[in-house]
Amino acid sequence: MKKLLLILLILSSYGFSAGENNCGSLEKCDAFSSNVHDLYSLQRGLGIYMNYCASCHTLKLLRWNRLQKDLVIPENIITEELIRTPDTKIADHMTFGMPDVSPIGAPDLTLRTRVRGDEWIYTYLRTFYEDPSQTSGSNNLVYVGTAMPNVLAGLQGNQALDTGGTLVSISEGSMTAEEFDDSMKDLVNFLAYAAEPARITREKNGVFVILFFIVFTAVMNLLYREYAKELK
Amino acid sequence: MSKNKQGKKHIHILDGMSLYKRDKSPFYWGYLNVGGEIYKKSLKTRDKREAEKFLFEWKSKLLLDKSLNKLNGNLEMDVLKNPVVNNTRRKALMITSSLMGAVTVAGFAVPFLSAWNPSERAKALGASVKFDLSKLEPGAMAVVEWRRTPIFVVHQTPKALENLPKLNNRVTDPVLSEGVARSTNEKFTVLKGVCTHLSCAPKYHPEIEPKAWDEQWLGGFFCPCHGSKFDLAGRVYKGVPAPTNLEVPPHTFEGDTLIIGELT
Amino acid sequence: MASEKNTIMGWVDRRLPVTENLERHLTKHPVPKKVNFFYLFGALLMVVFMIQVVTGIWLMMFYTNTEEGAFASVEYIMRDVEYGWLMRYMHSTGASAFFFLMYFHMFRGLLYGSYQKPKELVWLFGCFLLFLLMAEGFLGYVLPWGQMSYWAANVILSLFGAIPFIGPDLQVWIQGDFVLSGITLSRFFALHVVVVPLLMIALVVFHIFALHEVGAGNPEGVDIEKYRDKKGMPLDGAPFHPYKTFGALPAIGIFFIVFFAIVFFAPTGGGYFIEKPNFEEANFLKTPEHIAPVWYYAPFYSILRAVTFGIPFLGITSKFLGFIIFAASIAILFVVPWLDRSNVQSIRYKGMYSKIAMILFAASFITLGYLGTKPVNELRTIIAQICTVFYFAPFILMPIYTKYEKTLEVPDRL
Repeated sequence: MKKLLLILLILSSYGFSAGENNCGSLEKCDAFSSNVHDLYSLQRGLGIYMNYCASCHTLKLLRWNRLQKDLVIPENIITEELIRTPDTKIADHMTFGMPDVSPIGAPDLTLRTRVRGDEWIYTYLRTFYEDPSQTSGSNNLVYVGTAMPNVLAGLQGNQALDTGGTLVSISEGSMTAEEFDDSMKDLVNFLAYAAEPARITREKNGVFVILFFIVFTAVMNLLYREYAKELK
Repeated sequence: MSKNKQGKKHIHILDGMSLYKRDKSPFYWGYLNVGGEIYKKSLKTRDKREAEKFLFEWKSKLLLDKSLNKLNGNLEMDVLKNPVVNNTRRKALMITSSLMGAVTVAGFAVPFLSAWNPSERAKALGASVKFDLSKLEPGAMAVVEWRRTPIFVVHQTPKALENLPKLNNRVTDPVLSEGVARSTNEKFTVLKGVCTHLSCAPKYHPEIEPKAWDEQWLGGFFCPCHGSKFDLAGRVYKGVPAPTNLEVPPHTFEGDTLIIGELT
Repeated sequence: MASEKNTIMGWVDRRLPVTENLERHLTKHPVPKKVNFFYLFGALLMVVFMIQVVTGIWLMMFYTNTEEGAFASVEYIMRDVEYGWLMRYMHSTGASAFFFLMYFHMFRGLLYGSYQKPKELVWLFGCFLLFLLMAEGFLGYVLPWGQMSYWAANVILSLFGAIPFIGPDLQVWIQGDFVLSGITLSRFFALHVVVVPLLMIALVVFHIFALHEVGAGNPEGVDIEKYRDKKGMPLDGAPFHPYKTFGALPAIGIFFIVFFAIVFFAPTGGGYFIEKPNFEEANFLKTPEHIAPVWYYAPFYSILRAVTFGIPFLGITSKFLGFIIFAASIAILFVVPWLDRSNVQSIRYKGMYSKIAMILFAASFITLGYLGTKPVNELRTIIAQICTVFYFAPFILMPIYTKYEKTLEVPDRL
């Protein structure tokens, strides 16, 4: 019986080790986990979003005034510079005047990091390469055959796939590789914030709740012990 | 050494008292026969001499229990028999833990009670509304919707403004310190179109002519439900069911634009 | 007697025996004085049940039970309602906690024979509660109307379609539509918020009343009712209050530490409590790449998937056989009181085979649980099949090994 258990254990551990491939044609996505507590990073991420994403992708679950409050942006910058559509009020959602369903099939990005995960998005944004067989002229290692054109090429420069299947830079963009990676981290941080604005308060205040219950447990334990003495 | 029915090796001590060893247990176990009742338990010791001592102690305790039982029947649960009470400590702990409990309950209550506040959607729908005053002719009234309430915006004529002080003795609350038109702007009056009697919508009658409800009508609002009368500034007449003036909603003027509602 | 007193409580007691019942079922109810941590899960389950009821009522105030509005209303709760995110995460984490505690609570029952005569009914009510909890969890998981809600519900509903003869009609009847749709969502909502919780409350009451009639057990399997004092109270007992009530408090504290650590820092539980595809609205044209159940159904889902063969000459397809074995994996728990022929209650005094059986059962349950959250491959299917056998074997063979194995003598007193 014990031998059987052992065999079972070995067999199961073998079964467990077979990992899942959920990063497109890549073995593994690049490690990254978003941080929504770096205000400047979120603001920079918003900047990239407004410049490169907002012309196609809505954030239809996020309100302008929520963004204003959480990212500490002066109201006049929101109303005068960021809201570019007339009749949009500050309490409205960030749809940038686009219809509910995108005519070109660009998905709404509010919940995207929750659907795909931070790592997927971070890797996806950085693995575009030139592919003339695609209508958009570019392809992606993570989302093979993506319809999205490489709008970030101006920043990153163009990449191509060499015969070994790795990405090589073929032209320079306005940013160095590190600068670009940092920018994409900002963007993913911003998207992670958009996916769950409450995450800022949640992660900030959770510590106090847990500390309270640690004290609670300690006091209750003393109380219990006082009475448990009689149970000897 | 003797063997009983179950085949365990018993070490005889006295009549009805013996020690024995059991499979798997490293300890000596005690066997007692007190007046025909059989008791067995582990003595939690590996030492034979100690086991004997425990066995005797146990027997005398049982005998005592039994005699107490017979005498006054106050054999109680073990826990209640030998309380180790430190009352000050107990009281202090009870108070501290009750306070912790109260804080916990209050802490849980906060999110549940705040969830009933107007949500962001309600706030967005209840946000201030803008109204362009440039197209409102003198003497005309516009109805603007704000928080599901009709808001009356009246462009007062010079004649009407002149007439308002004349009504001071006919209205309940004549003070015009808030401005003749009861607004920060002399030309426009902004009122909630809800009768302060029973929430009907009063009708706008700016004409200066005798009416069925008032021979000396100088223009104002008349509520068809129960006949309450208000002047053009929304002040309530004496002797009508409505108790107070028509309410003035929060509003601001920015040039030709009227903003109804609080500024964010 | 309190009812003779000339107080407000006395006045009430003469008309409604509040004090008497409180003392009988709560404050003075005698319980074994020495138990271990396994006996705390019942109290924690009550706490979680209350959390679920209260947060559930609050979520219900903001949720929209229509196909068009459901998904958006969940995000409305998460963003626009003050502390809505906390309510939702407490409810979703509470669901996982409920199952976690339930599994431990029941495993305690198996270890220490909490189902043996005369506690059969206590055990049966408990098993019904597990069944209702599984139904409740499933119905609740459909409500956010995300991709996983939709497709997992599709998978489970199509199981009903596998029942011979009546299956397809039954599936349509449950759905109220020819496909899973908003009509199904509405009725699932009603079942989730009213019908099943009401049944659960009733069963919890029965569970506790039956337990108080026969008395709580202990890890030694000692019958404390044997030696009583003159008032009829067991000598090895202790009144429920303050000993057990105060004993539960530190446990509740530790539970809240873990519970809120998850709520505040890992509410999705790495995709095991709230799955990633569920942040995408249900789309009947697009199946997620990998449909995995939430972790608490994973062991049973694994059993369902492990059945890759039918019984052709009986006309039983592999799908239907899977459904039968899946149902049997829960149903077999109901008959455990009649499978155990042992003369002792607790695993501590049972023999070698009982111990091996429990280890095998626990190991296979955990392994099946792990496999259930992963996509299938050939090896995993084989492991799942072996584990399914090991899941059932401890129960099926129980009448034999418990009858013939050598047991140890149980002490008289605690």
